[in-house]
Amino acid sequence: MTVLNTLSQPALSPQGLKDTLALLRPNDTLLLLQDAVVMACQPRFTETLADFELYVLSDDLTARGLALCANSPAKLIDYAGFVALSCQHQNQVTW
Amino acid sequence: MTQLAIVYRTVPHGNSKGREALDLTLLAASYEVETAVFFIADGIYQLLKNQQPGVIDSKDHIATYRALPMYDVEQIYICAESMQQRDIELTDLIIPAQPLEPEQLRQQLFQSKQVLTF
Repeated sequence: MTVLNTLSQPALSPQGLKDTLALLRPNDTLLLLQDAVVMACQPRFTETLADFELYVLSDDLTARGLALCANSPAKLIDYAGFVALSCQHQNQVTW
Repeated sequence: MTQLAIVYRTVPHGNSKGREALDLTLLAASYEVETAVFFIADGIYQLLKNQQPGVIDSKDHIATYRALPMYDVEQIYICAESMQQRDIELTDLIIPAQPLEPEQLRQQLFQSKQVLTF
């Protein structure tokens, strides 16, 4: 079963993020949205996030005046992209 | 001794804590309660320039931070360590804030009569 994992709250630290995503495996799909997008702007989270097929909802970055950090492995998507991702996966898990 | 300290520690727009904290800050200041504000951890994102909350249909409370000096809220502190962790500079902020190391910040905070955290 293919699963789209989503996260809407930022972790307090890289270790906290690892704990939250403990059941995910490398190359699983992870979408950051709402307040969680701030993690894609912090180099300290890059290493943990690099394991996943990572997407970030671009409107949530724009709303907060942010941009992806350099070397971020994330791909920016819009709401249509979110719908497409949902369709490509059989299930969704909100962490 | 500061009468009231208000601590901002959450990212804006995903919840209303930032706006509530700001409402309380301005209200307290308008009643001449001596108020200090502290931006720590993810709360420092509250002060970023160039936010466009309208894009996600969120009410824009960010511009209102500029009113703090007009309400005589002059003690605006921001955690230097949190800024470094998040790659944020003083020039990225919508208003001037005084950066403090965690130990100084703790001292300022613990000198306040009342502390409210959002």
